[in-house]
Amino acid sequence: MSTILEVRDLTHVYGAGTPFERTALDHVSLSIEQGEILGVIGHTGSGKSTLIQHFNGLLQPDSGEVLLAGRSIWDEKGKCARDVRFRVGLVFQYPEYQLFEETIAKDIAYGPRNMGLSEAEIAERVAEAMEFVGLDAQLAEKSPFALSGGQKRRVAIAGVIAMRPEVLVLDEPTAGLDPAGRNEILGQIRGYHDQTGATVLIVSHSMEDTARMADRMLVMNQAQVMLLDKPEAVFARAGEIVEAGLDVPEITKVFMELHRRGVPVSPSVFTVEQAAAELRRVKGGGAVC
Amino acid sequence: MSEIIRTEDLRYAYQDEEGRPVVALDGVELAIGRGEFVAVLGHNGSGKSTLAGHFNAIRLPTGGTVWVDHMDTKEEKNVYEVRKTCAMVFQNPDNQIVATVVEEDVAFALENMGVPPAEIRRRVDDALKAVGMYEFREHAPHKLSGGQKQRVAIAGVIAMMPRCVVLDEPTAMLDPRGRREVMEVVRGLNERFGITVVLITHHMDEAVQAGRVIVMHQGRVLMQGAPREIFTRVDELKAASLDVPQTIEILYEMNRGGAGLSLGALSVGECADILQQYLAG
Repeated sequence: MSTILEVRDLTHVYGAGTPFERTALDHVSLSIEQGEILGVIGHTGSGKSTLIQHFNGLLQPDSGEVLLAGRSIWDEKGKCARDVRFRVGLVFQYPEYQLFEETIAKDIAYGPRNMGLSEAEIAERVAEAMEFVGLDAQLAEKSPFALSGGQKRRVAIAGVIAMRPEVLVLDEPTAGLDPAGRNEILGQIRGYHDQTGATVLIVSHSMEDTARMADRMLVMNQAQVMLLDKPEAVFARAGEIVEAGLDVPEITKVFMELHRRGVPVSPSVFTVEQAAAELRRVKGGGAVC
Repeated sequence: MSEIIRTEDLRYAYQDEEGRPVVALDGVELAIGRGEFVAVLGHNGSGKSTLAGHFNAIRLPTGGTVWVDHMDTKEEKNVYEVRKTCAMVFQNPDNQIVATVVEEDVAFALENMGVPPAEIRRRVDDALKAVGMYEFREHAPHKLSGGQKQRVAIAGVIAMMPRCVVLDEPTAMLDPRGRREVMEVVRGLNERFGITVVLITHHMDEAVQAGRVIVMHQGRVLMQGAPREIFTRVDELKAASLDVPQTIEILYEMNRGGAGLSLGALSVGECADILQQYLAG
């Protein structure tokens, strides 16, 4: 597997030289593999949003480097290559507030149009993106403002997908949605990943959404990388994660509690299905872990 | 217990942009007692926010009646008193803060109500202390975290000394720490000040803290009762596109394999107790 995004010794300081100076990223180094789904978690102020804004050049490192497919995204003159914005698509938190066009199709077409694509190509991409996010083609000529909040969010995500980014970064894509809406959006994101082979980063406060679908998880804490590993390995250290001010799923807490009481279960479960399997294993085999 | 909110055959219909009628509330019968802490659950579009809007006359019934402290919300002369009785906190903290200084924001409603300045000072200080934001009283709201902003919004509501507070998904936009802070304050409103709390939420772990849970589905009350009673009705909740707390879901899952466990686990400790016994048995 090859590396798509690499961060080397990245430091970012907000308000340098003012009383509000704060180091948001402190000598961070990491590599993201081509085609993986990476869950990025950390509490507010841990540096996760600052980190992802470096991935497509919205923020410039104070020191260190960001490489996309092996090349630094900033040139010697301090300019960010324009195509980085198309290759790394960033969906912000509550993106439904960023819609602005008269029709859904026009709103989704905004990115592809900026890429300088032909009208035919733009139309194809809009249709494809709408399908990815489950928006009925008949809605194309409607105003995005006539939609419900959940549907508006889909339009916003489609607007980024329409650029066919190699790396799709979503900041809290399920915030404020009900359980059904949450599962639907995550399923569509997975669909985009499976069909295009794109690398997907999902930023979240909570581990629940991300742990299910992520190949690896990046845990940010106090401006640094605390953990970057497979979900099982990350959850094996649930105690440290709780101490870092993050929430682990309730089911993980139950298994941590059982483990603490001396029951021979693994404390690193993070879904109900895993928990059930673990209980059956312990009950059936009587194996000690 | 006397009631502070009562709805009788409450209906609310509106037209969508193509002129088709949409029924958001379809005959809701509810009574909420003084000093109760009620959580209202339901998926998006179940009618729960529309219902909440009726409790302080933001929305008026298109059929049936809502009484807030025995006042019919449809009567225009009652609107002002209804809103003083039952105050509302919304989801997005950024949409409900109006001033550039925290304490001025909290004083905003009191100034509009014509409360004397000395009284305003006292109530603002008390309200900010109640939500743990007193030391931030001279800060700029936009520099606060989401949870802090939401607590300032709640302080603005407490300062009005309402008998009832309706919160419409107050934690939906907050991180886990912010959610905990806000839920602590919400519980305090109810326990320390005896204020009736109606909490609209998606979060099961918040709903279990309430005394009563009301589940809305398709514009009607699907079920209501104590959290323990509601959350053990797993099949019905799933049919209404709702999650159950994981502490119950695991027990339910084990029961599908014939484990025969009691489902009533609302906390991590209770769930661990049941599972520990199961594994030992």
